[in-house]
Amino acid sequence: MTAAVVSASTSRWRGLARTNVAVLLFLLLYAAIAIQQPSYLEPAGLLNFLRRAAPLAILACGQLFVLVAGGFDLSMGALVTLTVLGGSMLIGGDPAQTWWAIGVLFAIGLAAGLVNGAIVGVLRVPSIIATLGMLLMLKGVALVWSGGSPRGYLPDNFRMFGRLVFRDVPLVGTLPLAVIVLAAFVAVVAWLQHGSVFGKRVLAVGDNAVAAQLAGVPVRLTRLAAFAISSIAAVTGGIMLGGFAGVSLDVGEGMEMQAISACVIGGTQLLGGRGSVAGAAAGALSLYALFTLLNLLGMPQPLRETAQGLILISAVAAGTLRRRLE
Amino acid sequence: MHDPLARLAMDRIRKAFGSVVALDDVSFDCRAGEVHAIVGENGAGKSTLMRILGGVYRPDSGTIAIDGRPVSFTHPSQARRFGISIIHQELSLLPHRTVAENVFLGVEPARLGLLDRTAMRNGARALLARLSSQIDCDTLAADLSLAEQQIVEIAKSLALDVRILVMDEPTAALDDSDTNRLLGLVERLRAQGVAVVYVSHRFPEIGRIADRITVLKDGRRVATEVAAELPPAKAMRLMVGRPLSDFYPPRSVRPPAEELLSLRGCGNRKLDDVDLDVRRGEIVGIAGLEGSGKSELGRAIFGIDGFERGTMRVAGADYAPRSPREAVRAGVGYLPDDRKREGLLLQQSVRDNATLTMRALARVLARPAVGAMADVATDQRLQRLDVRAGDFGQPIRELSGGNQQKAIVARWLACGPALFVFAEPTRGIDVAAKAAIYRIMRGIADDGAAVVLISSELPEVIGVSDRIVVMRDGRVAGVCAGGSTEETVLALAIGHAPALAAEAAPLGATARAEGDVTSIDALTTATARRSLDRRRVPIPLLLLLGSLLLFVVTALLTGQSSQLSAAGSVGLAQRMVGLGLVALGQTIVILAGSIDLSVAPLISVAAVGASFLMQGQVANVPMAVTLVMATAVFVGAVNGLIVTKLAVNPFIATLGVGLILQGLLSATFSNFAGSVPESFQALAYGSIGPLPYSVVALFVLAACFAFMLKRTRFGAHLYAVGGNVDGARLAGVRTNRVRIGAHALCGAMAGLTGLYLASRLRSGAPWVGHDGVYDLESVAVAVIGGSLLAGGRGGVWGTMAGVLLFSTLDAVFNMTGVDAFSKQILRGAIVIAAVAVYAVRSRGLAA
Repeated sequence: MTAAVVSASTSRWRGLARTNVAVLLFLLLYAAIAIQQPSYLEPAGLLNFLRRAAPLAILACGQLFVLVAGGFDLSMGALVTLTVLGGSMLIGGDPAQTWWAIGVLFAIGLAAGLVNGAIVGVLRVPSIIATLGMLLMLKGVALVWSGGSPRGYLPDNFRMFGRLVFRDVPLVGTLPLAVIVLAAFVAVVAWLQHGSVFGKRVLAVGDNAVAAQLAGVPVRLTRLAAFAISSIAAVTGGIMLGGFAGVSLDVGEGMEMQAISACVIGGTQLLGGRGSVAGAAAGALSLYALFTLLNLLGMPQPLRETAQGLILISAVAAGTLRRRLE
Repeated sequence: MHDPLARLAMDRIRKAFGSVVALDDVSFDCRAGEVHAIVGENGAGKSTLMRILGGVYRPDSGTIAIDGRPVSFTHPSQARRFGISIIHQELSLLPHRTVAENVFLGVEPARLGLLDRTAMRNGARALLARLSSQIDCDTLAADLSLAEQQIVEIAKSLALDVRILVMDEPTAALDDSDTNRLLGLVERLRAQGVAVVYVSHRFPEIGRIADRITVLKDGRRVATEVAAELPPAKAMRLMVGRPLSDFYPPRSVRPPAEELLSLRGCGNRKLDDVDLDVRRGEIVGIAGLEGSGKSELGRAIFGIDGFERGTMRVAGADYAPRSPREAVRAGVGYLPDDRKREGLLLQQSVRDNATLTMRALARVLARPAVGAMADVATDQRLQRLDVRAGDFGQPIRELSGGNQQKAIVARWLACGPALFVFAEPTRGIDVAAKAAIYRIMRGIADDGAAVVLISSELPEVIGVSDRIVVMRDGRVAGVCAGGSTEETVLALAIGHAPALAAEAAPLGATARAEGDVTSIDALTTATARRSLDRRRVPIPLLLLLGSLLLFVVTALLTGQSSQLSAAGSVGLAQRMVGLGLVALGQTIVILAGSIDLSVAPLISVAAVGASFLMQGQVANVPMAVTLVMATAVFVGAVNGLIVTKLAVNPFIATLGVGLILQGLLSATFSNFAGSVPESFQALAYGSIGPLPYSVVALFVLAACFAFMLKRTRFGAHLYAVGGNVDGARLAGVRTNRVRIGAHALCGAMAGLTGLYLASRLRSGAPWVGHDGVYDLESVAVAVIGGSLLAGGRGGVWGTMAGVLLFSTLDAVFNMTGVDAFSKQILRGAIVIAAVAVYAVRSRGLAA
């Protein structure tokens, strides 16, 4: 009996330790940022950091479902671009069109996700290839739609999701809308992944799809839902990104790889069966903290990528080495 | 103490994993021409001992001697050099390779460094003849039955000139007749002077062939006896540590209740005209040889490969499940025969495994651990089935086979299915767990549900079932009462009239073995037929013809028939060069079961590096080319090292390396840098007669790669590493070296692509690789060309055909004047469509 209790607590500890790598990394990087720029230690500084990191964190939480189910969603970044470009095209500068346009953008995203899921589930195309095809198509649609040179601008009531900050909030002083959206999104997906039967089914499908099917799990539907969640996350992230980045063709460029990196740093296992929302979010925050730090240190922009690559490989290598030691 | 006659002597071996002592002071020896059996429960240390002998693990202490000389192994290939061959329970054949290629894996006959394929085929044929098997050497391993695969495994060890043969549960997946045949082979090898170490749970066969028996328990040796002095009952008592009474639970005495399942005239591609009735409270056994349709019957009842004809009713209602989910909803449960592949979620906890079916049926947004799914309720069910685990929250892969099996049963019991299909429920689990599973089955039946037991183990079917339905050739051959003799059941299964079987009986096992030869031959011809079905038009040819047709039709329709000239087709070929070069490298990496996403940045590095180093000076060309290629190979090798030595997923490893390269490159260069001299541009623009150098180079390289894959050991090992990395390593292939080599080669091809782009563009810029989407497109063409992303199957010409398809599309878009943006949409759609066609096509074959 005591043995069972002890090993139960060690297994819980093990799970905690796995997430801790990303959390620890984030704390380390954030401390380094604070040394460079003490204003980051104030609530406003932290919240502003969270606001800027929110799109990536949301993307990572969406990508998590596809990764845990054993796939990849490479079409995320292209969907972010399409969201920003499509938003500006649909709204055409008229704030009255914003809410309707946002609805259309989510519908487009949902459709892209369902098509991804259907191609993977029904046609059994490997998800790398299926979502790569979707990436090319979405990019093409964005180009055709905007005629290759994005025009129009996003009205303030669209951009508020990225930039609006509530003033005079008790306790923290300022509160960006983006942080509220981030918190709500993370809460919803964390509940889906860890507090619902759906999350367990995603894990089962990613661990062993055949076994899951033979136990009665609706494998295709589960995969479909995972891709849909990923796409919804991309549209959400895209709308927020529209708030602080300009309307351009490369606004979502490479974000799919950043989201995958964030999940992996947070302990998600590629090809499925393991991963947590907290880890993905912490991974995204670490990654964004890294970018911020490099900026503060005056490193050339491209070295971001180098640092991302280094941290990605070392995080995964550290994980495998630790497992080998166990 | 040492037996001077021993070919193999393992002395006082100890091995611990962390705090768990797997083997403690175990000594074991085996003489030439002896069969020495090892028995013990799961976890007794049998497989650890085997792995030490095979060079997979190194003992903490103790010595191994072969023919009196001490040896020590650090890699399986060293054990193989001493003539030690281990046939693992999980067969290690490469599914997409031929029998001959499998037989000689790791010991390929070579002449002047090239594979001697004729010698391979002749050698394999001779070895199979020694085993009096008629398996065709050119059949793919995936097309063989389990029994045939086992024979190929034995041929594999013969190819090695085996002196010590270790067989781990060789009959676990075989039915009785194939088992008999296999035992005949073992006897023959013993007569040829091989020392055979035989690990098994099955006492009847041990009694038949073992000369001596060693019993292991909890990592210690408890007995080594001459077989005659260790009857099964005594051995079992030693293994378990207590007597095993009531191995099979008593049959129910209650009168049969109402009918639950009825099949009338049911059939599909494997089954025909099956009638079956199962009543509540009853265990119905399904017996039959392999290929008789007994496993297909279970799958059809559960809706995996359903019936196409006939009617099925459950509890009086029509029942025609189109998926397992519908079957589960109708109250049917299924315990799959391949526990690892079809039953377990290896990384999830015991609890998660035991609640899977409930969660499959629950509302999708319900909380995962409430009510019957709560931890407490789950733990109670697991305890009731006596699942032994330190903690039900630990991953199920850490449990023994028997406990895993019980946890899967728990998954179903929670949902209380009315009908429960058990397929090979005791495969590979120890004696005590077997008895427990039998009791569970009887308990289910006594509770008013019905059990269908599909099993290849005759004693089990006979001992447990109330009635036995015997299958043969996809039909019901007959029905016997529970407790019938093995002869009765076997006679029905083989198709001999009972009288004939009785006549054969005095001749004993030999006669039976001969009867089985005919059935094996029947299987072999079935295999030949199956592989004939597979021979369809090869994919490269299909893509080639499709691309050309598309090109010609577009040219004609758009009135640009000038495109159909020699110059037009050369132009088409020239479009292939950039992507073609890097795709060749990518194909090699994918075959080895890896992937390289760093090629695009590496191409940029090579292109910029070349033009920057050359600075337009001819004199700098050799130095620049050497440096660029060395860098490219180095980066590839680094990829390989990260993938193998650090065990980082290749997707992540090469993505990371790519990011590092791109960052460094973009931080150093922001625009076109330097230029290449005019003479270097000849690479892209020069030609021999009408043929550009670049096109010639691409096709020559493709031919070299194809030759390398087909005719070198490196090529054979690439397929092996990609197809089954553990199997390859156990066969003595240096898997890490092969993977690193594949990555280095891919790096070199990316370097060449960069040089070619620099030559074509006259200068390199840090975005040329990224703009060409060479990373993802090179993967896409390889997959379109028929290479499996998982590795082990594919080839150079398929990839080249995929590249041709892409360049044809480019040309077609140009001719039809599709704008650059829509091009991308179409390209995306075509990538998906091409791979989908392929995926659907191969599914059609698999069915």
